[in-house]
Parts: sequence; C-alpha cells; structure tokens
Amino acid sequence: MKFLIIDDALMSRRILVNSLRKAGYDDIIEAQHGEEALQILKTEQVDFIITDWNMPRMNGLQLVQAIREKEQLKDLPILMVTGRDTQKDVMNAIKARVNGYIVKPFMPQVIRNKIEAILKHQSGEQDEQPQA
Amino acid sequence: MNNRKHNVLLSKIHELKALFIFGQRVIPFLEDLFQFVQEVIPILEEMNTSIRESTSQIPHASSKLSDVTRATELATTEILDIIDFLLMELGGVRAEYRQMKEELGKMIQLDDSMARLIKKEISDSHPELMDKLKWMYREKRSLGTRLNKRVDGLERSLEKIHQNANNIMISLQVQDITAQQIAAVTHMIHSMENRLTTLLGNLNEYPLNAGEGAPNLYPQSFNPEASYTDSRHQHRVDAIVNALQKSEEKDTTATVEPVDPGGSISGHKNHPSQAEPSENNKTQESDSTTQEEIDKLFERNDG
Repeated sequence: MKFLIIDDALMSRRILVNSLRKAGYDDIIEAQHGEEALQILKTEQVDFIITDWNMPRMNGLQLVQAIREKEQLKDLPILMVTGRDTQKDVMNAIKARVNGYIVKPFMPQVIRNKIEAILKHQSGEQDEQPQA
Repeated sequence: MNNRKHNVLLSKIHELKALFIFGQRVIPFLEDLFQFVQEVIPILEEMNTSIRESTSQIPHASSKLSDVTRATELATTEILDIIDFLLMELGGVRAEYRQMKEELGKMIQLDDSMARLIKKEISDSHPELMDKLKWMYREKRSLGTRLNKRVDGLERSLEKIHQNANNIMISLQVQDITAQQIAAVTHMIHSMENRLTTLLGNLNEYPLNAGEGAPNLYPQSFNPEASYTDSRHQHRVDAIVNALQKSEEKDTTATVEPVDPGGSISGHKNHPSQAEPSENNKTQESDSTTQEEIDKLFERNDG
C-alpha cells in the first residue's frame, strides 16, 4: 500500500513516516503542499493520503476538494492530520469529504488505528456494492 | 460729500479700528502658535526618522523570527533522530529480553525433568546424595525464580522507557505549532510594516520599499489560532467526526463546498450536514469543541 504524506513541516512528516513504518507501511512518498501532491498524483498510484491543513500554495482542504473532483481519485482514502481542532474546522473537513481527522499532537498508535479503521470502513463499503 | 457718505466712511474706520484691536489681541496667540510649530517640527522630524528606522528594522525582526523557526526545527529534528535511534536500540534490547526469558523458562523445565529423572534413578540407592541434590535443586529453582522476576522488572522498565520516548516524540510536535504561531506573528509584523511604509510614503518624498528581505509567507500556511494541547483532544474530534459522518451517510445528496485560500468554507445553510454553529457556539468558535456542543448541534439537525 502506497502512502502520500503532505505536510510543509519536516518534523511532522518525519513523525508520520516513523508512525507508518512502525505500523508496517514502508511505501511512503512525501510532498510539502497541495500543489506538489497533485503533481505526484498525476504520475504515481497512491492508495492512501495523509495531509496537513495549513500549507503554502495549496492548503489541505483545497487539496481534498481537488482530489474529490477527480473521478479516478474520488474514493481515495484521505486522513487529515492538523493542529486545527475547532468544531467548525472539523465540520469543514468532513464537508470536503475527508475520511478521518487527527488532531496534533498525536500518538503514533492513533495514526495506525485511524488508518485501519478507514481501510476497514472502505472495504466494508466495497463489499456492500452490487457486483457488475 | 454728504452725510450718508460720512457715515459710511466713519463706519469703515470703526471696522478698521476693531480689526486692529482684534489683531492686537490675536498676535500673542499667533506668536504662541508660531513658537509651538517651531518646537513641534523637530519632534515630527524625529518621529519621522524614528518610524523610518523602526520600519527598516522590521524585515530584520521577521528574519530573526524565521531563524528561530529554522533553529527549533533543526533542534527538534536532531532530538527526533536520537529518539529514533533509542527506540530502535530499545526494540533490539526488548527482543533480547524476550528471548532470554524464553530460554530461562526452558532451562527451568530442563532442571525439573532432570530432577525427576534423578529422583527416579537414585533416590532409593543414594539417599544422602539425593538430599544434597534436593537442596541444590531448591536453590537453583529459587535462583531461577528471582532471575525471572528481575527479567520481568527490567522488561517493565524498558516498556516505560519506550513509552517515555514515544511521549517525547509527541511533545516534539510542539515545534509545528510554535512554527505556526511565529509565522502568524511574522505575518502581523509584515502588515504593520506595509502600513508604516505607506504612512512614510505619504510623509516623505522617498518612501521605503515594504517587505524587502522579508521571508515568503503564505497566509494559509499557518493557523493564527494554533495552540499546543494534549492529545486527549482527539476524543472530542472523533465524536464530531463520527456524528457528522453518520449524518452524511443518511444524506447522499451532499455537495462539496468551494474552499477559500484561507481555509474557511462557505456552506449551504439548508444542508443537514452543513449546519452553522449556534449563536452561542459562534462566540466560542476558536475554542475546542465539547461533546455537549456536538450533541446540541445534532439535536437541532434532527429537529
């Protein structure tokens, strides 16, 4: 499973990469903002996105919206990891169709649990869909 | 010259006289005003110079703040490197301990088997030797138990060290938050610089260039409300996410809203999943959410 981590803070990317590796996910690529992530998505087959909110050029929310507008990427699991924790922020992220929301600072196992929950939920949805 | 003309002339002379009297009274005020202006001009010039100097220092100040961000990022990265190394080493030591405990268990099992065998073979023929062997067996068994307890204790200590190393890693995330706070301050300083530069531009013929040497800042790259909180906030956020996702699942006609560069979103108020916070909640917009607020929100949505 290939992960794409988008965060302008090197420190946060490091912690996320470490958390993923500890959870057994080694195929990880990184981007510093939404624009760079969209460029990567043009050429790379990514299975899971973990994005920050506040970033230069294109923020996380704009990135989520851009991804959801693309037919081939609209079901791509997206986990938002951010320091924004107000009710309005969470609501806006859900409206933009993120699959999960983690508040910084986070425990490494929270990342793993959330990823597993999202993947489980998605596989459940796929099972429910009628076969063609 | 008739009387009428005389009267007009006299009237004009009176007016002139009144004007002179008024002038005599006003002149001291005018002198004071003149003196005041003379005194104020150097002060204004000093203020002008001071504002000009302060404004020219602003890029330097914001550059220093950026240096602070870079330095803390570097330092926290170095700490993270050390934590990574510690955690990796700790993982190896824990694996060794687990192996050691397993081997200790096997050794005790072998001792038990050996004791049973010896008892079976020599207990009747060599009672004295059997007594000595029994004592040795008890001592060895007791030693094995103590060793086992020590290994357990060390394993618990290693677990605590591992947990604390993880906690340090969590605390290091403060760097991301402080970087955003510093970015917000830098942005504020730039706004002040721009206004002061405009002011100086109006006062002087040689305006300063705003933002010279200033670091490139994107307003959406930081959250002005960023604050470092403990990780328990996640439970509250999970409650909102779960409640909202359930609401979304009920309504499959939901639409994605356009997002503004600052990160805010304009919502359709008639959409169940896009309910605006209540008036009460609006005043607490920047505060963290509580379960009570979430419940109220969904009570209203259900209604």
